[in-house]
Amino acid sequence: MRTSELYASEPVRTSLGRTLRPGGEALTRHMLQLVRPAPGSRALDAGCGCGATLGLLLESGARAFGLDLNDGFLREAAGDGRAVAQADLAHLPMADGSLDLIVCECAWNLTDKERVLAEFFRALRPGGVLALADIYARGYRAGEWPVRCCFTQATDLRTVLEQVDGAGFGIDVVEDHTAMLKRTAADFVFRHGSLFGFWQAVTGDAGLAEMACAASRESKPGLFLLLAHVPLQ
Amino acid sequence: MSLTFLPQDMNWVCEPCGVPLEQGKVELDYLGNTFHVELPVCPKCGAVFVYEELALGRIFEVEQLLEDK
Repeated sequence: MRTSELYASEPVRTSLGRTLRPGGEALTRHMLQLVRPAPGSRALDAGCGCGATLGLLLESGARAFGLDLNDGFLREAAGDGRAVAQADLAHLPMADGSLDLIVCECAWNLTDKERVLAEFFRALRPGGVLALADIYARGYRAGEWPVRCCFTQATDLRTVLEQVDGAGFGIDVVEDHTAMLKRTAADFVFRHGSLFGFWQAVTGDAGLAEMACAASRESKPGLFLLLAHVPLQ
Repeated sequence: MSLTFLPQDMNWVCEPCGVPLEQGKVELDYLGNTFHVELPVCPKCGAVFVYEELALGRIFEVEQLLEDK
C-alpha cells in the first residue's frame, strides 16, 4: 500500500464509506449550511475522492467539479456523472479568479500546503470562499508518524491560521469538530479491537502500528473546519 | 451496519427470567455517541450481556478515546 493513501485502504474505506473522511456527510452538510453556495456558483472540490461532496454541491445548485490524484476514485466519481479531472492541487488548471468556492476536506494535509493555499487564493475571485476541513495536532508535539498520511503534516491550529492568513485570506469561521474524529476512531476500535489493531490492519506491520499509536498519543489529532475569503480589492 | 460481539460460550441464561440469551441489536450510548452492535440479549426482559473481554477491551478503549485520555 502506498502509505500516502491511508484513506484508500480497505479498513478505512469500510468504516468511512464514500466520504473517505471523519465527519462524513454530516460535517460537509454543516459546512455547506455555513457557506450557502449560490445557485450557479462555480465550485471546486479540491481532493474530491469518490465525489460524495460533489454530489452535495450539485444539490445546492452550484456548478461544481472535482480534482483528485487518485485514478480509482476519479473513475468512481465520473461513473456517477460527476465532472472530475486528475490534477495536483499545487498546480490548479484554472484561471486566476475563476472560482467562487473551493471546498477542501481532509486533503490539504497531504499536499505542499502553503503552495496549495497560494493556488487556492489565486483561483478564487475577490470575495470567493475557501472551506477547509482537516486534521490538526492538539498535543504537545506533532508526533513521528511512521506512515505518510493525513496526520503526518498536521500542525497545531495556530499554525494553520497563520498559514491561511499568510496566504492572504481573511478568516471568518474556525470550528473544532474533534468529536467527529473521535467517533471515527471509536468505530475503528470496535471494528478492529483497538487502535493498534486498526493500524496493524492498515500497515500490515505491528511495529509500524505501535509507532502510529505512539504518534497519536503525542499529537492528539483534532479536526477543524475553517471558512476564509479572498478580500475584495 | 452493526458489529456483532458474542462470547465464545453462548450458553448464558437470564437469571431473573430463566430464559437463554439470544443475539440481539443493542445501542451503546456514551458522551453523545451511539454505536450499533449486536450482543447477547434476554428476549424477555431485554437485559444485555457485556462479557468481560469486551468490557475491558474495546469498550474500555472507546471510553478512553471519547474521554480524551
